[in-house]
Formats: sequence, C-alpha cells, structure tokens
Amino acid sequence: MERLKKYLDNIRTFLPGRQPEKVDEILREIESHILERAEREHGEINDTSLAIVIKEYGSPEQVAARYYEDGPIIAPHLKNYLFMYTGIIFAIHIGLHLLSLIFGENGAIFRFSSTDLLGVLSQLPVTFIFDFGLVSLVLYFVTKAGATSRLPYFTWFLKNEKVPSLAQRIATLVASIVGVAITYLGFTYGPVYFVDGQMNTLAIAALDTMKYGLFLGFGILTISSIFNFINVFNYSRIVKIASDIAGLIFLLIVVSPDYSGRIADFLGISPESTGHPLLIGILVFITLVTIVELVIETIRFWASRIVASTNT
Amino acid sequence: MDIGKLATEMNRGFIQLLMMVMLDEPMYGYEIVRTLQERNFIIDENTLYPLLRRLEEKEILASEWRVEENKPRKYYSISDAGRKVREELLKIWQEQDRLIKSFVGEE
Repeated sequence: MERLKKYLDNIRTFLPGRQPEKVDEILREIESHILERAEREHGEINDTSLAIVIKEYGSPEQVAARYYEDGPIIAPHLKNYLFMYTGIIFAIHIGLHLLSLIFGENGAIFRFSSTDLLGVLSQLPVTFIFDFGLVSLVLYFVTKAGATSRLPYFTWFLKNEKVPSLAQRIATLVASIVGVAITYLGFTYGPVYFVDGQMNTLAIAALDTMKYGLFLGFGILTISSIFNFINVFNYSRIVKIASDIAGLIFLLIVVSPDYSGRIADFLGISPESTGHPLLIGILVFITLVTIVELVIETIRFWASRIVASTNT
Repeated sequence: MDIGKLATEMNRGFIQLLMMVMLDEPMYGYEIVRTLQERNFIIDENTLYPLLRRLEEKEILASEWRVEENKPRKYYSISDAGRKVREELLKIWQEQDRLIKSFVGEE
C-alpha cells in the first residue's frame, strides 16, 4: 500500500492549479480503480499485484496530463518554471546591458546596439519579451514531449537559505546607514583624517575617481538602507529582489554617458575621471555581485512556489 | 500513415456518447471497462476515467460513492440533463451515420 500512496502522491504533484478537493477526489477515484483492478485481475491486493497494476496504469505525469482537457501549450505544472527561468535569463540579460554601458565604446565583448541610457532602457522590454518567448518555446517542446521529466528548480538554494534574525536585520540596517554616512562624507569632503581635533585632507592620486566611486557606493548603500529598513519589519524575498533591481537601475543611470557627465559636474570632478580602469573594475564587480544575488533570489522565490504547489 | 491521432480524436466524441448510452443504470469505472471488453471494445482506463469526470463536471453524468466488498466504488449514471443531451447527440450521430452511408454504402 505504501507503493500506491507514493504513486498517488506523485500524481498529485502533476495536478497543480486545481482545487484541492477536486484533486483529492481524482486521487480517490484512481486509488479505487487500481485497488479494484488489482483484486479482480490478480486475486488479491498486495504489493506485487499493486506494482503490476500501477505499472500498467501509466506514469504519474501521463495520468495527470489526461485530466487537463484542452491540451495546454505549457503544462500547468511548468508555469512556475516559466517565470523562474525567464527571471534568471532576464536578470543576466540586464547585467549584460549594464556591462555594455560600463565598457561603453570599448566593450568589444558586451557590445549591445545602444550605449546610451534611453537606448538601453527601450531595449529592456524587448529583451524581456525575447527571454519570455525563448523560455516559453522550450517549455512548449517539453510539454509536447509529454512532460515526463521534472525540470531542475535548484532546491539547493532553498536548503541553504538562512533567514536572518531581527537583531541581524537591524545590524545590517545600521551598517548600511553608517556606510551611507561615510560615503557621503567621503565624496563631499574627500579623504580626510583628524589630528588633535584638526581635519586634514589626505592627498591621493585619482582623487576625482575616488569621489565618483564613493558617490556610487553612497547611491547603492542608500538604496540598500531603504530596503534593509523594510526588511526589519517585513523580511521577504520580494524585497530583496526589488532591492537588487533598484540597485541595477541606479547603476544603469549613473554609468550611462547621458548622466555620468552631469554627475561629474555635480561632484565637481573631471568627466574623464569616471572612466578610470580601477573604477570600471569595481563597477563590473558590483554588477556581477548584484546579478548573482538577483538570480539566486529569483530562483528562491519561484522554487519556493514550485515546492508549495507540489506539496499541496 | 499513422491513424492513431485521427482515431483518438474520432473516439473522443464517440466514447462520450457511448457513456451516455451505457449509463442508464449506475456502473463503476472498472465495471464499464469490463463490460466493453466483453463486447470486444478495448478502452484505455486513462482515457475513460478523466472523460467520466469531465462529463460529471458538465452535469451530464451524476455520481455517488458506495462501499461494496470493503472497497469504495464510484458509480456513474446519466443525469436528467444528460438524457436531453444524449437525445440531441443521438440525432446528430444518426444523421452523420446516414450521410456517411450515402457515400460509402452499407457493407
């Protein structure tokens, strides 16, 4: 009977999107049919007879698929995968757009058609539709192939997710606010140190570049602080995703040729200083870290839904 | 040429009508399969059971659970609304049958 229970549980995982009581009724019907057939055709209900009947009855995927009448373009149990995979590819795609802006005209590898902000922003909806369509096409073929295999949904990221305690969340908020203050002082006054209560300016090479870098840090940390504040009261994956997206939008704006000159004017630094190789390296690093975090959070968000839909 | 898909499409409507004709008296799933087997009509359970369910959702069939021989069995029978639908569908089927025969003749 354990085998039958496991078989029914498996069928349940492929019957999402239906009301739970209807799914229970379907499973009860299937159980009744299998028990009836095992007894009538094999004399008694035992592990052996059940194993034979279950094998003949068909794979859980095929059995479940028969209960969806209109032959969906994408099998209902794959819909969460559609959003998860689209989210992953789109996040990587935004990252590539951002890198193309960072590298500007020198971006041989990351050369997209536009290297100005408006051009990149207008490409994002097209990029999203392309990514969504690409994933839909793949899942369409998976559905047509019988959807007999479960696609990966990276449960590893869920197992390794640690929800921080309230104290940790408050500490993160405080740290990010301190970071905001330090970077603000840094790009406003430059590098300074105090001796006997006297403020002294530290003379360093590439001061303008450093100020610009600190301004970027200020922006990113300000955005983080806002979302860290929300997280203190309501910790959720969607807040982290929103934080990463807001960070990427900020980076897109500040590194675009349309705005970097204005920012240089605002900071009183030379426009050339925004293209320093070290700064580009730091920007690439921040972009990659943000994209990786966004991809992981996207996976966690949708994987948790897939797990929830297969457990109900 | 593989006629499997064409046969499946054709069978779909036919089996719906067949169930409406068969289920004047309540029967449970396995009983339906066996009854048809005795008349040399093999039906896949994975086709039949979801189809019964859909007819029930459309209120063409009614169902009730009974416990017999220590086993739960779901009995299906045609509803009053189903009888009206059956009457209309049988008319269509007879018209189609007559039309086909007018072309291919009776063997």
